[in-house]
Amino acid sequence: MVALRFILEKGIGKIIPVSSPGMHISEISEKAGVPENRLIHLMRQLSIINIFREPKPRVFAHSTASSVLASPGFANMTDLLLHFSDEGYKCSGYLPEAIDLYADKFDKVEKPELRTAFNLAFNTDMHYFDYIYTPENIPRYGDRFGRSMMGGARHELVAVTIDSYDWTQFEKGDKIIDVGGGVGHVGVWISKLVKPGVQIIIQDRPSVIEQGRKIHGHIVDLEPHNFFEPQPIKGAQVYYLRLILHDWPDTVCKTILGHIVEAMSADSKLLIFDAVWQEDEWWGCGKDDEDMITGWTQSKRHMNIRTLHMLNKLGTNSSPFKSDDQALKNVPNRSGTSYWGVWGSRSDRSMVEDYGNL
Amino acid sequence: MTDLSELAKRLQEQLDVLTKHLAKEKLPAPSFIPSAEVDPLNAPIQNLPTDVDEARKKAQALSWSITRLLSPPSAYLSWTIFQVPQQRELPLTIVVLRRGGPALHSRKGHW
Repeated sequence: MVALRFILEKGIGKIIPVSSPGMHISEISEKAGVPENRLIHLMRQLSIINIFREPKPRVFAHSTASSVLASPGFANMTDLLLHFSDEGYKCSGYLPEAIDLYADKFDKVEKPELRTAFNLAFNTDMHYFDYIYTPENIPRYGDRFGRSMMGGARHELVAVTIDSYDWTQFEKGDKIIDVGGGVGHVGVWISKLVKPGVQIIIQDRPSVIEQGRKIHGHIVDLEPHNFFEPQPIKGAQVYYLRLILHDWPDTVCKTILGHIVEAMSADSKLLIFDAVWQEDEWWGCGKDDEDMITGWTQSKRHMNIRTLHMLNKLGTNSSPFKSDDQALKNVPNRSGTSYWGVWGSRSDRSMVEDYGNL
Repeated sequence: MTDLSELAKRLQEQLDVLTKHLAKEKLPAPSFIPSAEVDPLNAPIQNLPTDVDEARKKAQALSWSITRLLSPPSAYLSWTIFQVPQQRELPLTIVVLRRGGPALHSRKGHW
């Protein structure tokens, strides 16, 4: 993890041409501005797992895996890998301490999201998002987080869930609000699926909106909004929350959703894209050898590592949904009946629609 | 208890599905070495029909399991810390140096 982070930060993947049979470590070192006697150990650590290769002693070439790093199409995924290997990895080192200090007090403290491994690792009392969006941290963390979410959307094949919904039902003049929509990458995708004249509005922090306008401002509208405050756009056709609620404890989710519910008209729809938590029965694996061989799926691995990442960074699990049939039990929907429709699942992700008063 | 040979047969069956598909579609086999003909972001191995992709995932699960079952439990646990796939044979050379002098002795072997 550390070796990968280092070569990503130093751009080693772009220093070595993909077509090259190999570049001597001294040349890589000089171009990267890194001492050769340090770099070689990191390169070999990655070569051991087929990320780069060492066809001759002290000469490194790309493997198929490392060649991805030279591709412009992978740039935002590189940011996602750095997000996990930098903040994520540092936080995970403090999880045991965070559990010892805080775990049995979580239900008693006012703001559990400020009692995390992140707070210990970065020695701060700030929430993760407040921290990365301080002016001094925006260049390293904040902007990178925005780009990494674009990379994450590609990784999760956002089209599978977005395309499963009928976006053509909305007419010219209708508004679709992507609350906490980051730099607008998903809004852009939705804009390809709606009829002409449907307005896509992305809301997020001012600095994120500034970043997003430079990338997607010509396709969607981006407006600053703090989702802890009343929703300024009333009666929109859709309020869309993608991977927002998993960042916050239930009590905070209630505040976020409460402001949206207040702004909704009778015709408004609330769409939530997030992980739908699986019950223990789904997780169980290991009653015999065969169960061990076939039982561990990519979905389980993904959901669990995401859960730990959220726990480390934000003090939450990776899903606001407890299960399909108890979805959003702890947060208010319009009817208060906790009845939600699930659209287009991909792996462990789904898009969920508030059916309101059926 | 697991019959390793049986696992290997099951692995072969899944790989047969994959290799037959690649041959039928005239697609290159996977390689560790980059090729100008294959876009690493759009490799044939990531664009398989559903049934073939299912065979690919089963083959992965089976090969991972074989690797782990072939690992001594203590070595498996220990090497997890170092994140080194333990199926690799790492040549071991221990050189004991006498302070200020030549090597006292060396030994070569494998982990």
